[in-house]
Amino acid sequence: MNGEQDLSINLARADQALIDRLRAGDESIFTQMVDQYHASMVRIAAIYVNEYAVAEEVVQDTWIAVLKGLDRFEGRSSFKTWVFTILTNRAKTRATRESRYIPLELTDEPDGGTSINNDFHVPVNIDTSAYEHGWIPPSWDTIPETRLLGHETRDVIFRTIDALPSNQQQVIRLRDIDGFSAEEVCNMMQLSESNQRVLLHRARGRVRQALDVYFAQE
Amino acid sequence: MAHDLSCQELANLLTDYLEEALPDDVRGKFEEHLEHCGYCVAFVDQMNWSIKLTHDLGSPPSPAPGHDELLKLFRDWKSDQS
Repeated sequence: MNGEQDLSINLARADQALIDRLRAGDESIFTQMVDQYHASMVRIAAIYVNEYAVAEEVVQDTWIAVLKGLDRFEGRSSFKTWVFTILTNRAKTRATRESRYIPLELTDEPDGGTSINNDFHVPVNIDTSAYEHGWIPPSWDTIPETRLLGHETRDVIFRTIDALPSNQQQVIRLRDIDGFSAEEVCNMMQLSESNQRVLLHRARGRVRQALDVYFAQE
Repeated sequence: MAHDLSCQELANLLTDYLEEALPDDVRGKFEEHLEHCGYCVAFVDQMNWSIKLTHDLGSPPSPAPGHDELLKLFRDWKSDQS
């Protein structure tokens, strides 16, 4: 048996234990789940419904659906993926009802390509001829930690992600913030592997570009 | 056999590279390009940093969700069960 199988068996056991405790009415496991997932869930729902209060409602409805549907969980995905899939479907339904939901392909940029910006922001004190003659941008390794991990860096990341088309936003949040695998995100969003990569690629490209501009400022 | 990659082509393939989705010959060209191009090394380095920072800073310390309301949901569900 290989390590990957071990891991998925352990995960399945942990999920089963969690479901058993929920069924038994264990409030501590429920609040633990809420602490772990709730904030991420609200952010994902908000991509579709736009209003925070509505996103909160969608998440509450999702929790109810999860509890009522415990018997239907078959373990074909992880429990967490199952919860987020229910969430995504409910958020879409709610957005459609309020005519906010624009199908995936229409929200995307018209170019449909995978081209991303690989330019670096050249600080004003750099002679552009140096840039043309092989100037290499400074590495972020040398940025002091207080700046690298500071509030402003966080703000740049948030603002950039919030401004992305909704499907790119959802993919980068699920992959890079919430830590879902590519396969899980494909299942959740009903995307092909290559479409998932294109959306992730564009989203990551935007964030890198925004951070580059920010870090290049003195 | 894949042709030599330009810097823009390398940038366009970066996510496919990181996701291990490139065919072997293209992956070879990708790594070969990085061996002699400081510009692209810097680009890939920034992208790796950017992914790490998104992960580390991306989930804001959000106010703890209102447990009261959610616990009420849980208790209601529980009492419907029994």
